[in-house]
Amino acid sequence: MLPTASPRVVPAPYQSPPGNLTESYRSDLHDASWEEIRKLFALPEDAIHLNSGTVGAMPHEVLDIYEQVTREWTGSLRNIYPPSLYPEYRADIARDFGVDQDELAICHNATEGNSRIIAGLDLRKGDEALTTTHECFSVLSNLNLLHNRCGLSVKTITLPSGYDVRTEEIIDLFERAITPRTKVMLFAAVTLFTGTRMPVRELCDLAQRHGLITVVDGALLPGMLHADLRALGIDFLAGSGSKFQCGPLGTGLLYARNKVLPEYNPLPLPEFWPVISTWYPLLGHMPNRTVTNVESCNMGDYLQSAGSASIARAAALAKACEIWNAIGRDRIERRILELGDYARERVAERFGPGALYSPSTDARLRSPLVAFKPFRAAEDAWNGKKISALVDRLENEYRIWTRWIEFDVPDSPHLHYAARLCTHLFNTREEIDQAVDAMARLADQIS
Amino acid sequence: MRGAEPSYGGTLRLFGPGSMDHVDPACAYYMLGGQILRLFTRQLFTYAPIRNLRDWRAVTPIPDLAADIPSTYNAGLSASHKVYTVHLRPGVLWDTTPPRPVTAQDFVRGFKRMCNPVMGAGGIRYFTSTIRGMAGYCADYAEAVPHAEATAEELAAFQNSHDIPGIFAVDDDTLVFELLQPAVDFLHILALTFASPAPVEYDAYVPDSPAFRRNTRSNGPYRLVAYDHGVALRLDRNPVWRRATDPVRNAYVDAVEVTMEMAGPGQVGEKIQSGKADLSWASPVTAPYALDPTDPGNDLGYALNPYLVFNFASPNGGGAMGNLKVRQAIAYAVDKMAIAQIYHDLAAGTVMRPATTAIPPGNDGYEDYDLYPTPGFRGDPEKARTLLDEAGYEDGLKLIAVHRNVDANPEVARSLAADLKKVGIALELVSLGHADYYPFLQDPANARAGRWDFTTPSWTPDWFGSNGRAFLQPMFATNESRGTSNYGCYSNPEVDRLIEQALSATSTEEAAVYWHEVDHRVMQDAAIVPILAHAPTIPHLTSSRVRNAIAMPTIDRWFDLANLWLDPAA
Repeated sequence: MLPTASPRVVPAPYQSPPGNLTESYRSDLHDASWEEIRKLFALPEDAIHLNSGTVGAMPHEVLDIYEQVTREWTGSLRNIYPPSLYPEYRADIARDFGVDQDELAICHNATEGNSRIIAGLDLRKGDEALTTTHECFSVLSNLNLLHNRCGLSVKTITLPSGYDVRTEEIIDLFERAITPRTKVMLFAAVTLFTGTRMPVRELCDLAQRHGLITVVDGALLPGMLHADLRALGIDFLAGSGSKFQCGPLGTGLLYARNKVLPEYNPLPLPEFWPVISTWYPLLGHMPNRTVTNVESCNMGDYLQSAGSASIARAAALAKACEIWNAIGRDRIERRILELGDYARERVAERFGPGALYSPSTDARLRSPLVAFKPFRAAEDAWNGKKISALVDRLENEYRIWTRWIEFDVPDSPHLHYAARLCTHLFNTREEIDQAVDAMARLADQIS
Repeated sequence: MRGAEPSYGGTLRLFGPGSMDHVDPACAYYMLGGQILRLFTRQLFTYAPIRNLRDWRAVTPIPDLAADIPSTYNAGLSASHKVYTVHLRPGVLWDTTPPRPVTAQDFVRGFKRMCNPVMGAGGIRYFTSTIRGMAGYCADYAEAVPHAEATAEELAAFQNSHDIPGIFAVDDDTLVFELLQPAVDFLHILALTFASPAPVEYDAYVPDSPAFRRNTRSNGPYRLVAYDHGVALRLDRNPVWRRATDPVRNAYVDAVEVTMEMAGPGQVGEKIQSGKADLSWASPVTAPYALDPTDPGNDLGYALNPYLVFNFASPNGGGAMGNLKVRQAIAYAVDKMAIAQIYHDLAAGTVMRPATTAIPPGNDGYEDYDLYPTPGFRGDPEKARTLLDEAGYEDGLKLIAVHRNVDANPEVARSLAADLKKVGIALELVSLGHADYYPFLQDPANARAGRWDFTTPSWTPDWFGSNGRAFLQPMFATNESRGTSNYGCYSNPEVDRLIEQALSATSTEEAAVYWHEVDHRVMQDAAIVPILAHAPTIPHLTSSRVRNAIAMPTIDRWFDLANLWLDPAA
């Protein structure tokens, strides 16, 4: 509230920060070599970053925008609330993923996105959620919370792993697990443990045949796959802005289907409570959800109105997306997958195809995440200390960043540990060669 | 305040009747002995002494030989909650010559030892029902070494050539447990003394044999230097123990001596008050207290003390104990208030109330109900006699009741004899020494031979809170192996099924529903007659020089000897 004694100051309308990509720059990026594109990124010269599955690397421009917008807003005294809805940023980013601004919110990370989606579903005692043991803790913990809080039944299946996994196995596994009580299917777009690119469209088809809600943990999807979320038929998706999308830490995407396009998903919009929303009515109800292709409310606004927010982080994420668009999302996807395939081949060559936990023979399931067991002895696959030592030494002695993961394997009583490397657009085949060779040497030493 | 600051030195003297059941942690179960075991054998997890305990949820396992509590967030617990990875605390040594680190392989050996068929863990079901492959290992062990006179070489040969699939050492410092299903109480299980590590030297001894007792090794602050079963024991300081590697024990006293003699509570109390002893051993002698003390700790996990357990395997009286109506008749015959009076007069230092359920109040699954109500809990001889007649025993019945020869037990036995005489059952009372009582009951051969028909033991939970596994499983799950706590060989497949459902629950709330079902079934079967439930809330008497004596519920409210000290000025 402005003090009445002072002259009224009209705040300048918010404008996009200067420095939007020019047409010529966009064209340059579109045609730039991968070597030139790598220079966009704030990456140390003496390090190899093969862990974008945890956190990506920001382009310099994204960092610059973040800093610039932060400075602009610091002490500006402007009204923070309208721009905190990020209307233009959301509109731009939504288009990148084939959806509309009223269906997208920029949240803080995929964990928050998953949590708010799960918390917002209208699930009751007796309902059943079907998911996998390979989901991120953010999915499993929130489902268990609902189990304890309101009696939701949670059914988990363990996804197959190994180089010869087939798409049909996965779909069949889900189908056999559906019961009359199942209300929602939750699965990752790309699993963080084995890097399985899940057959999202087919799983959504399955879900829709059974009248189920679909929730996709798309933490790894933005920046990796050029995905049209509407065409995939998903109801909800949470994505990370700071992994493959290379936006700043503290950014994520939350998609909530907000209109019915039967050619993609004929089911009615699910009942959904926008958890964390200052726009939720103080009295009365939200408008009923639409049954047509015209939204009845801006669900994105409901989800985005969560108090004052950092304009800088949204601006930076939007900038990252803009750069991706300029390079070409399809082009990036092809590049990332090609590097992932190369990494997979090198691992298979060096450690044997049996060492791979990531699918290989079925191209539909391949992603740039490659998980494998680097040790020869079978029992070392459940030795967490050895894999941890390998990853630590890879980092300390070779300046190569990867990570280790732990997960369940069907028909095995053990918790399996594996090394995981992720290939991204700024990586090279030489880097992959160095990493695989170093891991083989370390595995020999540690064995 | 004089004595308020810890003081090192002195020999702590305990005096009283009774004995440890076993010295070997692979089979020791008697809580009295838990005071002593805590001094020389450490586990991955243990309990801290809690002063002024008000809530049983404070009695929760803390790391002892483990470096930390495994959780999903320190890579110690898998997301499925079925794989525990425990890292050992560095620097803990055995008092061997030369001193040697306690290793993960020592724990693997310790777990194998508790499966031995000669003198195994009475609580083995805690482990075989949780750890993958352990039930199979125990079965294979019993088959490979079927005779009770097995030699140490035979036992070691089996242990060293067979593995428990779900327990392995990743390296010297890391132990992995793979469970059959999530177990919400697994850390409590790992805090039991059965789950102690065993040095390789133990391969040379039959568990708890005289040779073992002469050669126990220590990784705690004290070591056993003398042990005469039922007579005396002494512990001296362990010279290789270091406070820096033990977050739980301060070890103020220099030595601990226990003198075991037949003595009534009055005599024990007099010894303590005259300064000839510091603490009671086995005799529940209390410090002066108000007649009806109110203590928030009264609601702590109640123990059943005593309860009447029937020997289903006894052939006596034409298999009378196997007849439901006979058991129900006895349930109606018992005057519980008379027994309560006996304990009250004993000034045992507990709050007592008649028990009507297998699960006493304060534990998960407890609900207040009584399938065999009698007026004022005084018994109903008429109803009892009717049931006996219906069972075909209108001419009466002769049964054997065994009892301990210490404290209130002889008088309780006489009270029961009087109750049963009214309904036509003649009791032959057999008195057993404290040291012999539980080993006698734990041998199913005695049950099958009809050497007893019923008895009145006591049962205190091994841990508190979610402890259905510590109450109902050992008491009622089918288990006729030597060392069993299902003394009477009770077996009901439906009860076994319900126990398994409770154990596979992923939340304590879910488990409580099943535990209550188990309670109800065993009461319908009249497998036991709960007599009294109690909460030992009043501290045992101490000598004038004892300071910082904290009662520990997990060892039946006996004191934590590892942290009290002796005031030299007292």
